[in-house]
Amino acid sequence: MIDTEKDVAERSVLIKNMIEDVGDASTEIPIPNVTANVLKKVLEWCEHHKGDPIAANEDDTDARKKSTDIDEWDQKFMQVDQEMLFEIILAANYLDIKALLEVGCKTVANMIKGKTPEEIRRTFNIQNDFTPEEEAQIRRENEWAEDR
Amino acid sequence: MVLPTFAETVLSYTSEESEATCDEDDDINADDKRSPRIDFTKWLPGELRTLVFCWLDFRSILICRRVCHGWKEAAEMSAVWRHQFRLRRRWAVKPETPSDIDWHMMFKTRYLLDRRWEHGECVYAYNLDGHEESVYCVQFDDEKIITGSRDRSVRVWDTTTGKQLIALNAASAALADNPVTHSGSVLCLQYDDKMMLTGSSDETVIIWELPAYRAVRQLHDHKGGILDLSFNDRYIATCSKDGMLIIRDRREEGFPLRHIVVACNGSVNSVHIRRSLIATAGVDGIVKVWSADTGKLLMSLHGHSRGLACVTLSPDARTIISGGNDNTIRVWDTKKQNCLFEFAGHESLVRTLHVFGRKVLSGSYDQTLKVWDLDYRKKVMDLQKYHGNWIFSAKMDSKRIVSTSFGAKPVVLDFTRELDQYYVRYISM
Repeated sequence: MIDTEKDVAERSVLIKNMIEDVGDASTEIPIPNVTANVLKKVLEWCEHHKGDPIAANEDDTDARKKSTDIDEWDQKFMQVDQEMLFEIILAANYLDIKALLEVGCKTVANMIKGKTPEEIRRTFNIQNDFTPEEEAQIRRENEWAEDR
Repeated sequence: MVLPTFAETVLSYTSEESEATCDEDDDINADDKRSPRIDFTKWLPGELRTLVFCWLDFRSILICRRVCHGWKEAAEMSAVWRHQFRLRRRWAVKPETPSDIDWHMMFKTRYLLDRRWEHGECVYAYNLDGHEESVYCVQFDDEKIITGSRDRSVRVWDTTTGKQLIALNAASAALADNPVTHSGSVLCLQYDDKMMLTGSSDETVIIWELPAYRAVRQLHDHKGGILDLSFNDRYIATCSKDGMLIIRDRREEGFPLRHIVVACNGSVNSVHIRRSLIATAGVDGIVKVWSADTGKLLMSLHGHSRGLACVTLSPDARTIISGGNDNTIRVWDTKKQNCLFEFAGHESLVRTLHVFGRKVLSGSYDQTLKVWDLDYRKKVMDLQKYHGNWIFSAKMDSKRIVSTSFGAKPVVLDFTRELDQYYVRYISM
């Protein structure tokens, strides 16, 4: 069991709805799908961001945004091992904390950007299962995007 | 939500593999050394995997296709490419686009089309063969091209084949229930889904019902040739050699007259309406802006040194572009009421202007077509080889340029040839 303040926990839309259903902020809220150490980490994020305005309409904002810039505090916060990073993304999704989910996805995207296929494979411990013929074929299929 | 546990995912890698990759770690930056390293595409459920890919640029997504079979599949998810497509501000698809369309292919096709415009390449040119004399005016869409000529006819062509579909002239009028036709050159035209207007040196405007191409009314408002006309869903504006600008109400039965004003001491060569603003250009060299609601003159824009031939408003009615006998194109701001900048380059009278998005197409008596960018404030394309005579009219969209000149054969420049036509057809203007 973890103690936290109502306005910290309410960064999570899931918990906010649960509190509203129960009607009492002092109640225990069961979070079955998130382990305690991940939940602690998530609440640390919520604590830091408790004053942030919550984006009203995700369609308007998210669909147009391109920048993967992450603010300094969040970058530090995300300097965790890959297991924790992916667990945070899963938890943010489950708990419905859009801003944290976004930071998590951006962090992974930044681990991919600017890398060659081989560098990506090494970053995520992936085996290349293409035959040389398949590799050549995919390179040809990608040619349309090359700068001339 | 049933997910593999962390243990299940890492256990799927043999210890042999992780040892084998150890030696290669040296050149990976420190961030990625955080162990253990996990393939997140196997760890995160499909929608979260897609969400990660949505934060990549399209070239990175194409790199991801080359990582392994699993990543190739993830990088080809339609949602990933639909997102990429929607990030492009000026890209759009038609409403009838199937929801299960391959967005990877849709993106690729749209991207290649843009590239052709940037580089002025892969242009396939062909003529529309049928008019007997000079063609003065044109408008087109994905299905049809409509032209008006000195031969007194209006012709409708198939956009993709270039074949003539309909000729509206004395012969066709003789067979129609309402035998109306122009007895002079067809100088101007405009159409939308329901209606087409044609104006002529015979001093009349004919209103046609579409898609039947049936003449429903002939207007005898002016005492001179109809040099230009323009309408939207509210008003019809016509201008003439007689110096008048006449505004009719489109929304009411019989299109009642609303305003008759003297727009110029001499010919009013061009008129264009956007929202409730009407811009006119005449031989006095002054661009004038009128309220369609009141018929009052809102502003006079001075700057051109000679008479004007053409004027057009941007879709948001914030910008006016004008051209004429001083060979320049001027760009004006309707809020500040001043000239923002000019496009110089034509070597003779600028006869026609058309705005598409943030691009301006111009056609001149110097026999060239040029495309200009309003944001970059410069010329982006110079098409010199397609006309051997004065250009009278030219229009563009994201796929084509159609232009007419002193000569009976309009020119279609098609930028979509050899692209996958299945996807081209769903690209919206």
